[in-house]
Amino acid sequence: MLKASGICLKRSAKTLLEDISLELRPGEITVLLGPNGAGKSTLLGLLSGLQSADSGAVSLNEQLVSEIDPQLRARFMAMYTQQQPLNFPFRVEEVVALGCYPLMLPSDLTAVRVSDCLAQFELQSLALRDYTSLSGGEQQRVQVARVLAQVGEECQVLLLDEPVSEMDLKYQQLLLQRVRAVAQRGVAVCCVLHDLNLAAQLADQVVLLQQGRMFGVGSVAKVMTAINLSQLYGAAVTQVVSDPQPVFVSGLIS
Amino acid sequence: MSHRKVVLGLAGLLPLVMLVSLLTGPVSLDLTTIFDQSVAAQVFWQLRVPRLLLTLLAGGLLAITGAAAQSLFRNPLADPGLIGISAGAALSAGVMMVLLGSSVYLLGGLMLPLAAFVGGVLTTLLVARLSVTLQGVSVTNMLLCGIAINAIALAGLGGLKYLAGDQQLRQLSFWMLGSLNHSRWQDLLVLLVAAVPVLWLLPRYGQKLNLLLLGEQQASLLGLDVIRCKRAMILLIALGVGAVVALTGIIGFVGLVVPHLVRLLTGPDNRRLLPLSALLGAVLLTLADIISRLLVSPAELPVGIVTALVGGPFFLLLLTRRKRELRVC
Repeated sequence: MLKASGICLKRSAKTLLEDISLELRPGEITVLLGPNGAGKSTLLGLLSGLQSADSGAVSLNEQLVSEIDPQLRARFMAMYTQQQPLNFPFRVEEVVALGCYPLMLPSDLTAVRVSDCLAQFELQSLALRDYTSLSGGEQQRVQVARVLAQVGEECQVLLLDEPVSEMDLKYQQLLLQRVRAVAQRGVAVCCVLHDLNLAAQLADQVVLLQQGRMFGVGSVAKVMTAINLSQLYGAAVTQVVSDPQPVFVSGLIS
Repeated sequence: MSHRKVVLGLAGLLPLVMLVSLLTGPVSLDLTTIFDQSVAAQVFWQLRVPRLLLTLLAGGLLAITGAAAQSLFRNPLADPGLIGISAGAALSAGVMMVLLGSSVYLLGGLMLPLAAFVGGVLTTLLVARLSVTLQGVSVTNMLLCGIAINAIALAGLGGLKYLAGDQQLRQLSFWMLGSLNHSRWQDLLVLLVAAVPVLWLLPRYGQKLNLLLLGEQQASLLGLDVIRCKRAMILLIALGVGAVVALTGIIGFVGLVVPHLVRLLTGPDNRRLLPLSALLGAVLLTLADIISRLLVSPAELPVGIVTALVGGPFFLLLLTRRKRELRVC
């Protein structure tokens, strides 16, 4: 279990995160929602150990994340970040293979794993293509496939920062399925999304973040209400269906 | 092209250019007389052989450090010459030479390479400081930094000329152009001290540099100790560049052109790129050296002029291809 307790982070007098406490439990999918600049990516950065907090602690099974050896941490945790600055002409399969690096597999097993991950995201036909020549959505699929290649037997936490921002509907759904499958293996998942309906479909736990503070936390039914969401984003949100899961549209519907 | 074919091709090319290099020069040689007591044998053993070996090592080192620098800065334009590492190393060595006067040859001739190494480390750190952030690399800052450092070093070396004695004056001007003319056996030993660790260790960082190309955050998430890796790269690059600069001056563009050609042949994977760059760098600098001796025979051009005449237009070509990318940054 990944546990954040009372974390605060300030950068040059601006409070980025204030008193965030949060638990990511094995097998559970947590979705982070919030307006731009609410601190979602910063929070994921802290959870992953990339950054450290001014106060408070992030621990994985009672061990401070920042104190885990980086090589070991890479086996316990995988994370998709928003920026993917790769600009060298690697082949798609080579990019995905880099995800296997922390697993230290022999090369034949790496090849099997890579082709498996490519297949999962329907990337087989792009396997030999130059990554830099792909469209934004395709690049995102490759990078997500790379991150999922890193999720091995020992992996306990998967963090995803807007993994579907450039994907079309089909691949959004595909990714949702894959993420659910990973969670079912007992991995704690935390995912930043902007699509409310996708969030409602995916989440076991929802965390609302506003200006670096927790605005709400709980199940979809409890937290994702039109009133809460309108307040969270400062924009009108209407709920049109409530069963079996809520469906929202942006704006007011008379 | 397959990796195997490229390796075989280069391995075949290498002895060929070596042979041509040994036979090229104002004194015509044939290989039957090299074990005599003749002048030809003297020329062969005291001039041609050390020159060839120095050229091979310098070419290999310049190319492999260029490839490593490009991965460190995550940009194919990051040539140690262009971003100022060579110039920083040359200025540092120049200052050392003028300051120390004749005692510069103490320590078995290691003083100049040592000064060049320190200058190389400092400039690499400076460029990295100004252009690399956690989010990415600013290509603009990296190249502008190179312009500034190159200008400062040029001015510095120019200024040093007024303080320098006769012998030093000649050495300063040869530095600014880059030349393999003064190769001696003892230079070769000095170069070996740097070449062995660089050529041995850098290829071992191939996969780590691949991770670094994904971005620093991404590499860190994949378990790479990014700070340590970058530190090791900076030291090895500065060591390689510093040693070559101290002995041959600034030979530009080898570190830019060679890795680029290798990437065209076998792709950007650093596990192949680093060793193959060393090999192709050795071949191409030897070729450039042959050309520099043939063009104005019996005199010779500084080899830096040849590499700049070939490499400069090549760089411009790359720039036009990368216009889009530069605009983004």
